[in-house]
Amino acid sequence: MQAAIEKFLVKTGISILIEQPDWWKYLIMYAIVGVLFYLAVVKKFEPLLLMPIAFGMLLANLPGADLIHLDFFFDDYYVAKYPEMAALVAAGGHVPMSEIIKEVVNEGGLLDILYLGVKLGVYPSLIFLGVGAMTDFSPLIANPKSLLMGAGAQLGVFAAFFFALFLGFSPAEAGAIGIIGGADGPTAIHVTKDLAPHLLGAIAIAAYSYMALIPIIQPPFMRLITTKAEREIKMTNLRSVSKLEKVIFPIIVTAIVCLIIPDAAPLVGFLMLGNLFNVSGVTDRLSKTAQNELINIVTIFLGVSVGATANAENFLKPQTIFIIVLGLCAFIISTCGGLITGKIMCKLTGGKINPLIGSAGVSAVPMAARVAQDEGRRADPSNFLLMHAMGPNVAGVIGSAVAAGVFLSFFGS
Amino acid sequence: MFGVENFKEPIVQLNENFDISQLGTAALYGGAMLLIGMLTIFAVLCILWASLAVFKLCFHDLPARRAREKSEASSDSVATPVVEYTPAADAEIVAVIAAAIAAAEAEGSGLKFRVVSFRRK
Repeated sequence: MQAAIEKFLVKTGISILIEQPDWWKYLIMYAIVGVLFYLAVVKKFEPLLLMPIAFGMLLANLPGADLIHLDFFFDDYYVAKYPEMAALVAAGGHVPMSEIIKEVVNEGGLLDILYLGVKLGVYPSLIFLGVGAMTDFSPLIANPKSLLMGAGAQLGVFAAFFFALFLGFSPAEAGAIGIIGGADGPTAIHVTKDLAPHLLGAIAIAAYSYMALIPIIQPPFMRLITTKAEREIKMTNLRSVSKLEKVIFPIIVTAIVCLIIPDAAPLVGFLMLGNLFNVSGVTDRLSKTAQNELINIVTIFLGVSVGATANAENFLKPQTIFIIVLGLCAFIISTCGGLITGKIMCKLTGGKINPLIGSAGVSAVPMAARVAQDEGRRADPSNFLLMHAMGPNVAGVIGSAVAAGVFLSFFGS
Repeated sequence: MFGVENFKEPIVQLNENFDISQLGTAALYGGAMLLIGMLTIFAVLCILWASLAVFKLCFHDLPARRAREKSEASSDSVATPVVEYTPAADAEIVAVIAAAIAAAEAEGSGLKFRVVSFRRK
């Protein structure tokens, strides 16, 4: 009986935690999980994403639970276990996905299976399907000049890439880090799972955390770059957009973007398919499913599995701090890029465009547009910029998908 | 491209192998990527802008102009009917309004209303 009790005590998580040489790392991870829960529950910052991510992190850092086996997704595991794979990897190849799937199905658990959706790039596209179904592109169609602000707001993506190279990251890793500046979680995950899968946890958490913190990060720079007179500019009402325009828009965008940058197709294609479901008026059931059940289910799977990649061993490294700092820089530079483009357009149009809407070009629909609206109303309570800011906002989604396509076409396998 | 054959290897080595020339290579590489990336995004989104401008012309401006021309043509050809004032018609309107107020005031109707303006010309 005493032996059984001793065996039980030895197998408890607490006992395993104490025996770990780096036990303190787990405590730090629990503190980070606590901060994410606080942001999600108390501050209500992106709770739909931060909560599953935080819980996934908690599950991944429970000593002895072994809920996720990230080594299944890396070549080293197969080289050690199957000697015949060594020659393939030594020749510069990678373990075939079919082998990884076989290993996960035979040896893995629930979180490993859920993580396959990330590894195969299924979740980001499905999330984009839902986002497309929920997004109204009318402000962009009515005011296509907004596209330029969406483009200008991608500056931070490439600036962070530039800085990351100096911090010792490889070009592929730097591309994955830079895409945080696109302020688009699914895009960041889509790029990172291809270019730097070992950094997925840090990049996904940085991307979603900064998206959640947009109302705190952006306003100081919006006030710094624009004058009060510019913030008070009232924009004229947008023209009405016909149904025909709304239906043709997603088809044309998909064709143009994907013909130029085919690597952006999984994101842009599904974004526009979701939008077509919504605007066509003949696929209401599909549109409702994409907007509700599908995106909710995928969000749970994505959040939990991405959070579970952030275990103490691979998360608490100096490069995670670099990623978090570079991600913040990317966000700030992207915001400034959008604002500067907005200022230029304000000058060129003789003061018809309020430059604040340029900050919404960082994607993060619709929170960035709401921040532009709030800042506009702070300057003049009768100002109403929300619909105008939605133009650059949705342009930013397309812009960040194009930036992702650029990185994937340069550095992807 | 730019001498970096393997994208999985860092350009700048933050260890004893560090060489100052690596910074120049990184700056060149990063700068070129920044330029190419931003130009690509602007080019793609400018093409979309041009497409949307064509959109506006084809699906908004032209149909609106046609509709305007059609309505102008029809207004020219059809004479505007002249409505003659008759005291009987005026009395009928007054009776309708009075009946509507009486119905609303009736007990159990549950309607709350206030007559803001009532003028007889």
